[in-house]
Amino acid sequence: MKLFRRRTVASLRLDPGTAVRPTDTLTVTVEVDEAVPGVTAARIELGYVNGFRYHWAGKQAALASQGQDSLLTAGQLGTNYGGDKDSDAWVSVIDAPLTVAAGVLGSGPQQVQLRLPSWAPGTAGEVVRWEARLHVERSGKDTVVAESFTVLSVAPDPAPTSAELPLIQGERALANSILFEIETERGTYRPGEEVRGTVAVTPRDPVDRSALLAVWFQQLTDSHPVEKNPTLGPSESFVRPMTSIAKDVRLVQGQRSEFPFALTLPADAMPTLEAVHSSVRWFVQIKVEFSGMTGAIERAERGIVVHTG
Amino acid sequence: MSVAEPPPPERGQTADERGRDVSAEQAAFEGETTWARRLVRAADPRMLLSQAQDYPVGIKQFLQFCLILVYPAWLFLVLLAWPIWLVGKAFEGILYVLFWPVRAIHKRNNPEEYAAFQAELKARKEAKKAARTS
Repeated sequence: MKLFRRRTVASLRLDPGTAVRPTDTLTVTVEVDEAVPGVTAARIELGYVNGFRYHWAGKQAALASQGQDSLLTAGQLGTNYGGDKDSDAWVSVIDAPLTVAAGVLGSGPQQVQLRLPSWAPGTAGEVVRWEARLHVERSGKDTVVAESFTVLSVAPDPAPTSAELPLIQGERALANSILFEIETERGTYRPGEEVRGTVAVTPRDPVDRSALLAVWFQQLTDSHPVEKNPTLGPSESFVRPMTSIAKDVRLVQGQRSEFPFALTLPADAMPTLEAVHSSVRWFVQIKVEFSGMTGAIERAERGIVVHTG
Repeated sequence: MSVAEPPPPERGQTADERGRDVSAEQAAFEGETTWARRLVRAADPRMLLSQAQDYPVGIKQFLQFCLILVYPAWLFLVLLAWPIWLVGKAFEGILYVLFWPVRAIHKRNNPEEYAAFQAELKARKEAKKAARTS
């Protein structure tokens, strides 16, 4: 569709060209190749493209769609199984106007300095992609020129301890017989760092099977779009494979058993963040798998904060 | 030193924070406490048409057209639900009487567990009632 696309009128240069932190000031230089006539306004915007999931059609709890989330009806005509879609939205954070004289955006360089607010979420894959945008309002389709940059997320100050972060357990009606205590050495980590900690398990019921204890990272992406209908529950992903921390363990009812664990965050892990349309949360999840075909799997998780800066 | 900065934009709400995602007609239907009133609500064509709400334009109108087509069958099923419900209630009563010795044995042998189970049943019933009225 190049026929209908407007010619690029300008290029953007960012200083510093490296990753920036919240509260840093970014200098944006606009190089306009030749004067642009018919302009009503022009501005430089800093913001991010925020990815999220939404339910694209119908009411989620409509009577007519009862049972559509069953595996039996997956992919069947007339159901909206898989009715969730990925989308993104532009979130403008801060902007500054450019000089427009008598409806003409003059050629040559123009420079603006913009300070990133302290609450700016860090760059995170498809969830948060920061861009500096030149927005030229003119007759017909507006012209937008974008240049991406990286924002590092800083650790919360004061850094939370592991005990202050959520411990989630006992959410399932079945397979809920173990009391978990999970502690990590710190509450905040960078991607690529090793997370060390201990897990203590105390069975409440008699145990007649041996157990395997394993640990992995769980990443939850909550979608909370402002306008669109959000999906039910967060999108869940794990850092595979699981790391076994103890095998063939004989747990005893009422007896507390403690195990150390250590596992490394992936180098490209997204930071913990809360953006306008979605959020990312990280957990260390412990699984206790009892032996045998009918052995229950029990799980619990402790939150950690991942920061990139 | 404090620096003036724009306030953070307001974030949206997750599905849990928004509450149950149903049409107003369906919420009214679920809010009814008696079976007779629920049947009247269910027989209302607006209740059936509301099932097509929030679909994209075009698909919504097509769904409403289909729902109008199936309305007579829907009405028939709603009327059929009444005797089926009565039979179900009668069956529940029969089972209640049939299992009375089992409950009596349970109460005698394990009174604490029995009391806890009865309390849980009551709590479940209350929770269901509260969910319906909220």
